[in-house]
Amino acid sequence: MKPRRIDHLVALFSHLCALTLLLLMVTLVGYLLYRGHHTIDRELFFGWADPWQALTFQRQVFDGLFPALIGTTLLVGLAILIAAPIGLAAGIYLAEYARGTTRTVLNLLFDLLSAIPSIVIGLFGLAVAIVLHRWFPGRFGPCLLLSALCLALLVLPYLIRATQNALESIDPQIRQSGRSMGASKLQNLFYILLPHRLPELTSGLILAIGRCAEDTAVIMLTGVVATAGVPHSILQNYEAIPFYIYTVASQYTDATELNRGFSAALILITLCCGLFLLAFFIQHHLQRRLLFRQEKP
Amino acid sequence: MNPREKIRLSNLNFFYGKKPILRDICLTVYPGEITAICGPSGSGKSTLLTVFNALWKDDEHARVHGTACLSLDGQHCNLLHPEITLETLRRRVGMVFQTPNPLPMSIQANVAFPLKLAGEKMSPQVAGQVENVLRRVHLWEEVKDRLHHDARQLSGGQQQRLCMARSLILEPDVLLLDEPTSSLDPEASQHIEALMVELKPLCTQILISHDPLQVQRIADRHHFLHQGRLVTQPH
Repeated sequence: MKPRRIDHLVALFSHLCALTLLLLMVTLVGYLLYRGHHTIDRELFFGWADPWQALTFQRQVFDGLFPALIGTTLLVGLAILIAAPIGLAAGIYLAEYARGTTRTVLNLLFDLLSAIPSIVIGLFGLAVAIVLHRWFPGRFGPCLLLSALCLALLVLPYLIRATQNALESIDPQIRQSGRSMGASKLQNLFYILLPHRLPELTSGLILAIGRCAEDTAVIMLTGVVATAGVPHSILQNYEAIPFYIYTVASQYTDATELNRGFSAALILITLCCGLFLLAFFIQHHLQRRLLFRQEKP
Repeated sequence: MNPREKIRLSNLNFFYGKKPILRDICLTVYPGEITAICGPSGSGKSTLLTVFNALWKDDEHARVHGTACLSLDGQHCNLLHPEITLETLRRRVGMVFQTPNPLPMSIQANVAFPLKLAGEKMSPQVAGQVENVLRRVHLWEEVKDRLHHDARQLSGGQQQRLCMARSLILEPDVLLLDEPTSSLDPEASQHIEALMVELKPLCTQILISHDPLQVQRIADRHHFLHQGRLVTQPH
């Protein structure tokens, strides 16, 4: 077979794969829309509660998605707040400072951490909750903070690898250019390397957000419940959309109830898209601020 | 070291891990001249250049033995001293790379970047310095209306002149040029060559080049590097 013909076949195969993925995604979202759009209404979010009173936290909602929406947002936000600085710092350490055996051992450990199933991390969280409950009876148990900590542990390897790969793939000339101008290692890192790789770092963050938002195994064992209302503290139980979907899918009694699960899935996707957009906005803002700031003389 | 000399390397050996890259290099560079170093690919030209600004120290596998002295303000500076202040040295020994490497910042921020590293903030003086140095590399007229645009949008020749401006803003004593015209078209190369000749009274230049005609045109002295050994040739 002629090399040119092989080129064409490989290109065709790549296009077909991309098209298949696109079709799968469109089919998935289309099916969710088809099944779920009927039941997206006020009742889905607020049940029989007055929306204004629910939104201003004057009245708890026990038969709607609103507390789960708030719970998921808080959970993802808290987990990312905990994981992002640690992941970034560990990634920087691995890419820029760790050498020899330390680097090899740490790489292996982080690979192992990324391979741990989420249910095992959930079990670990549950064990921690039991120990803490013994030490502080009535004050500490499965809660939003514990779930966020466990989710942070779950997504740490993504953030570490994203940071490490982003820094290690920088063109050596870019790396040397700052150093050749007299930049210290730290100046090179913060003025050149990290701003240069903001899009890759944001991709890692987005992956982590997605993982936090969808995980059910970890939160099932560490604090999520079917009905808790909006949590007033991070040491309380909470509701979350993935758990709502899981509960509906496993216990529905009629088609309308199942359709509410599809609606919740649509809302979860929308929430994730919102969080992704927020991450992109922060990246864009930071990039403008760090790189193209118009300093007035 | 003779007071008329700018840099002297004696019996310099460079190892990467256990592999010798440069062997018994003895080289003298005189102030205000363009000293060219030629040689085939892989002969160690770019490695030799990293000795002059101690950039090799950033690589954990690199080791250098021998003597390397640089004359700065009448003082002799041992380039191989373990306690040498790299940041200060590199502000006095500028470097221009083979491929233009503007940082992902605006044109003005790129040129002013070495000053920022030295702790200076944007001020009318700094803006004036940026303008002067852009004029010196004949880039001011082309970019004066878009100083806040992304520097990476400039053409290859403009980017390389920008990089030279960035190296010149600190008024270095020595300028290291690692094949600065190899990725440029003939017209842009001519601009850079003319600029190097103009800069001779201001700083000592060490040029790595693959182009014998370029070396003939602008270098005061040239040396040939072959398999890590230096062969000096009269110009």
